[in-house]
Amino acid sequence: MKSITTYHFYWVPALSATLLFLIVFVAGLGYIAIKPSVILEILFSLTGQNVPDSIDPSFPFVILEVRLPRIITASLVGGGLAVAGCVFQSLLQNPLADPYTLGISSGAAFGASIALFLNMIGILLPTSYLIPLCAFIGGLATLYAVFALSAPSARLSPNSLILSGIIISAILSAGISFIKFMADEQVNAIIFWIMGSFIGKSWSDVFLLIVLVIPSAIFIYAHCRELDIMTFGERTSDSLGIDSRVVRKRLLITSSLATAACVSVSGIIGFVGLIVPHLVRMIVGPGNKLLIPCSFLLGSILMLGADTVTRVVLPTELPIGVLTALIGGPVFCYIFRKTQQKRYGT
Amino acid sequence: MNASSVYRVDNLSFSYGTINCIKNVTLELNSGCFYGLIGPNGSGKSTLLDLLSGHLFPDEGTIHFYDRDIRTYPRKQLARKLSTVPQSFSLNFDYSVEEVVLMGRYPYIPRFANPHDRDLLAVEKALHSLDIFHLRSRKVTQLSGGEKQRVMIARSLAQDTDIILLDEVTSNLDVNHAVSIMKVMLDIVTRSQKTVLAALHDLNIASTFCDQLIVLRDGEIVDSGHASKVLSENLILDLYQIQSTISTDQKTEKKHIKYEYL
Repeated sequence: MKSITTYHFYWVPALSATLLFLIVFVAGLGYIAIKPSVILEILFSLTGQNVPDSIDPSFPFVILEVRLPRIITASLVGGGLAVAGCVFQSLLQNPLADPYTLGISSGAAFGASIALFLNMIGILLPTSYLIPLCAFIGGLATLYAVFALSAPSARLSPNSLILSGIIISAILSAGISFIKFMADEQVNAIIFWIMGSFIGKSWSDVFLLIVLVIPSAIFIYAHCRELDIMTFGERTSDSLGIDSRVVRKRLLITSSLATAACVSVSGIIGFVGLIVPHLVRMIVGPGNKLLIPCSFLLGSILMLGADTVTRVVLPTELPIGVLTALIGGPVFCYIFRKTQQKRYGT
Repeated sequence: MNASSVYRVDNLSFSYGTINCIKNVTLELNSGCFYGLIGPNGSGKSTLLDLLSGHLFPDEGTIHFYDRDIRTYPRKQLARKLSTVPQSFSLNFDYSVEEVVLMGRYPYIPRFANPHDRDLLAVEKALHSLDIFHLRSRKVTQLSGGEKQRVMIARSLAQDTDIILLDEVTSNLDVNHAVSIMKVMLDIVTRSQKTVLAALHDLNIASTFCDQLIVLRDGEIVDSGHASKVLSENLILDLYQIQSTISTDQKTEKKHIKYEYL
């Protein structure tokens, strides 16, 4: 008797290869087109070899300092949000949960709005660091508030967490509207930040994501069996030897850290954290051992694809959050309709 | 009787907020016995099972499990000795029956390790004893209520523990499946010297399968002992406010309750 999950293991190398290929391929696309072979040579030059003279001297700068940081940022944000989505769906025992269910996006947007507002009223601080920092702090403060509101007894039941998330989000949304109102004519900066973008991402953004998203994803992957079991409810997971309250809190904090890091770097990008786990579950099943790595990879691929579309294909750069919602919304309708039809046999 | 003590519960009390659910419960459970926990809705059966399984911790009193305070056990160690089938569970994701039953082996499989042959064997055995082997690749979300319940019981059998706590697992099942599950449980009690404590609503099933009954009312134990001694017309009137006639089956010497519905 073989476990069913083993049949789908080839998806991990397949998706990894696709992601690597895509990274090299899209790095060549843009205002200056660069051939993949040239990109590979530039990448190899990182190992200490000299760049051949045949390559335009501006190309290494374009690839390494402009495009690659943005590409890697988009991939890590996509992967991080997708993995966080898996965790929230499993732990809240709700397939409709996403990384923003607990209000982390609203908290981050509120933090970023404050940073932008401070800048507007003349308190000039280096915004390139201040905005992500405020967004990150806002996201984590929201998580703390949601925990504190829902769980005086440290029990953290899924329903009370979801409800607290909705309440806190509503309050923060009102706060954001208030800041927008106060910002008056300079409201655009806030609106654009909230819609999400990868424009001008640098290696410092990549560094923040590598430090927070990758370890979070590994930590979450190490708990894949606990995540499976915890979808059955606390009594079941307790009786199987999982300290459910502790593990749930630990995993919620970890995935919220990853989410806050993603949001603080890129703004609010919806639907990836909701749809990718669903898509992957349709392909490889609900087991987290495959769901988590495949979601990370597919989330990266889709986010990178979407960012490339707005960067290269569209005449003007559309905010990435708008694009993912425009593509993701209908795709989600389609998936939902299909599963409904399958379930009720019409 | 040379049965050894599994549980020793002293002066156990527990409340949800201001509602006193369990009041001064003292009891002892021995190995190799099939216990039935009976009592009306809201009498504290589920709460008592939650306390015995370590899901809840008592406000007052102690639970000794194999002569050691249950709170001092690491969770995984406890899960190798004690399994619980809860009354309700959520099934939101399309796991296969086999995957769910394999989760019962969680306490035995180290992190990052693949299931061992003995784990897969335990799963196969559990699937066969609950008569769901043919459903093993089906998705749990697509099963009937009774099938889901049998999957959860198979999971606890795969966990291979000395003690099994069942919380009204037969309530959603038809007579045939209810009886077949109780037979499986009786079989593992008599053959493998395991201990089962089952909260039950069906008193005829309780009297047929259980050696010992524990009767709860308003969080207190009102009676306990051999099933044939505990069950009486007065007790049923007292617990459920319903008249009944109790007869003894000639062949099995088990008590049979006939309720006067009208």
